[in-house]
Amino acid sequence: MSSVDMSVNIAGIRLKNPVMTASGTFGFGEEYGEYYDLNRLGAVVVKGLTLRPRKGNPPPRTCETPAGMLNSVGLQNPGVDFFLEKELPRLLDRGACVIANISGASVDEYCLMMEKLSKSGVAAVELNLSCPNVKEGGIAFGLKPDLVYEVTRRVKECGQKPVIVKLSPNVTDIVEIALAAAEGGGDAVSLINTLLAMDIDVWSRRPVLGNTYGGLSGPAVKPVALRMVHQVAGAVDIPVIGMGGILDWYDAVQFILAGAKAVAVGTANFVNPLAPVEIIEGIERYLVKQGFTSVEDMVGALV
Amino acid sequence: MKEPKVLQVIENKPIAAGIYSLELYHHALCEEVLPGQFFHIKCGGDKFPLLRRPISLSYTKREKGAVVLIYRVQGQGTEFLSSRRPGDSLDVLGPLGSGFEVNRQYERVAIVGGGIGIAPLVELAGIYGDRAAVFAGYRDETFLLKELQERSADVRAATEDGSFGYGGFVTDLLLQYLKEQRTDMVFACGPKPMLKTVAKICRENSVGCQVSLEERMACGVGACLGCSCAVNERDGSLQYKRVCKDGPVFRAEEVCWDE
Repeated sequence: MSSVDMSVNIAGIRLKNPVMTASGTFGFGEEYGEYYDLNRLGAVVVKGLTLRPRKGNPPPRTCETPAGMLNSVGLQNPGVDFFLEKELPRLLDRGACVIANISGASVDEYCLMMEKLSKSGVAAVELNLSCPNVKEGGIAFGLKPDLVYEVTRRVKECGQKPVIVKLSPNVTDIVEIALAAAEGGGDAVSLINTLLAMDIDVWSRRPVLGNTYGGLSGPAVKPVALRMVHQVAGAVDIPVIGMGGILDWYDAVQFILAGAKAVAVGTANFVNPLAPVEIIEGIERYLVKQGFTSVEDMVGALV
Repeated sequence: MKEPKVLQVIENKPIAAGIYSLELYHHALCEEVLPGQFFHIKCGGDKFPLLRRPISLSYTKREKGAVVLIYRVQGQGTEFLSSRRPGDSLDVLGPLGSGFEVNRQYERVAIVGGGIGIAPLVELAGIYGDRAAVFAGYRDETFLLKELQERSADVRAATEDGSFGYGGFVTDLLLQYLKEQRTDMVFACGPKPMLKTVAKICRENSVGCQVSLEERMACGVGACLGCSCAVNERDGSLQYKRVCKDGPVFRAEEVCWDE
């Protein structure tokens, strides 16, 4: 097993393996840190941060749908300052490679957060330009190529950390958005965020979610995510982090074959707390079986 | 480190229309679990139904090393669960959540359950025994009365259709009781409108009250912030807490009942 090189280089950082957690599904690592050592992960992408604390959306915030789930948490988080003071030191103590995910209501807010995070121990910053559940979640930026370009360029100027741009699938042409992120100086793109969706209770004749709309995730979105990762990986020169419905190593390998240099595990955490570490082991077994010497050799290796 | 456990089904049988009693074998778990805590159970194949289902401990059978969970069949997850047979295995996380705050000094407590919300209170009734007055409210068909009576000599039932015990809401019985009997704490679980009434009665009679809440859950461990409950902070502001991790038991006075 030790003969394969599981490490990948993303946005100038060396990850020990290609498996990260998807923002918003892993809190600040505290809960799942009770199930395994967080330093086994390629990276921990933390809950989306905003400049000031946010209470989040009224319940119900989740519901199950066929082979998937909806959420409308609405970026409940303690704010970037609390994160830097309380959560980040705890994560770094545990040896985790930490990627901060940030959402802003304006370009200035993104820049301010980048400035704060630049002085910290985070390995990279992921720009959430795609939260479907709140107006301030960046979705206003993520749907238009010129705004994606602008916010990426400005954030890059505000700090030294590598920038990963997280893309929304709720667009006509995701390739155009990915190209704008690359042109703006983004060091990597990650995709997909959730698909805007809803569910209805016919007996009460009300939307199931308190916020009416929410984001769809889980196995139901995987084929859409795979297609988008394949399209984007074929169009941009920067690394692609693939996610969307990855439940096991097989799903993860599909994303890497489609061109993703790393993958993120989201909804699967809720089903199986050990999913990320089982996926790491499964990818390694696959590489050995298929005769690859490194995971990077497998990236985009569709025939 | 924590890990999902594979538990064996000892028994899984209906005890009323659409309500099942599930007995799972696990000696250590049986010693560890607290009243008010829950288990997060994978109810299906790999991908459908996808999410685990949270089900509270009803009571333990220490001599057998078993935990008993009572659940209502409401959808595809619990439908799957009801089809499990003795000898089958279930993938279980837990015990999770905070559970009831049990003070063994209390001389007199009231335990109030409504519908399937009676189930999470049985173990607690066992702890307080004859120091507990137990109020069980049903729409029509009763269940778990025998289990409650084995634990407390004072069990009072109410049915909304009047078919058994007091005809009306269980909260009427509680109100009457609190007026006559000095009580140290009220423990309650049930539908939100019932809990809201219980909270109001307790406030008006200056009795402490702990409520066990229910909310749609995803992770069950506190990571996803999906199962939120609005609570009033001391400074008057409203915050969302996690039913799975900060609860499911909350002090009634902190819950924002109008949210």
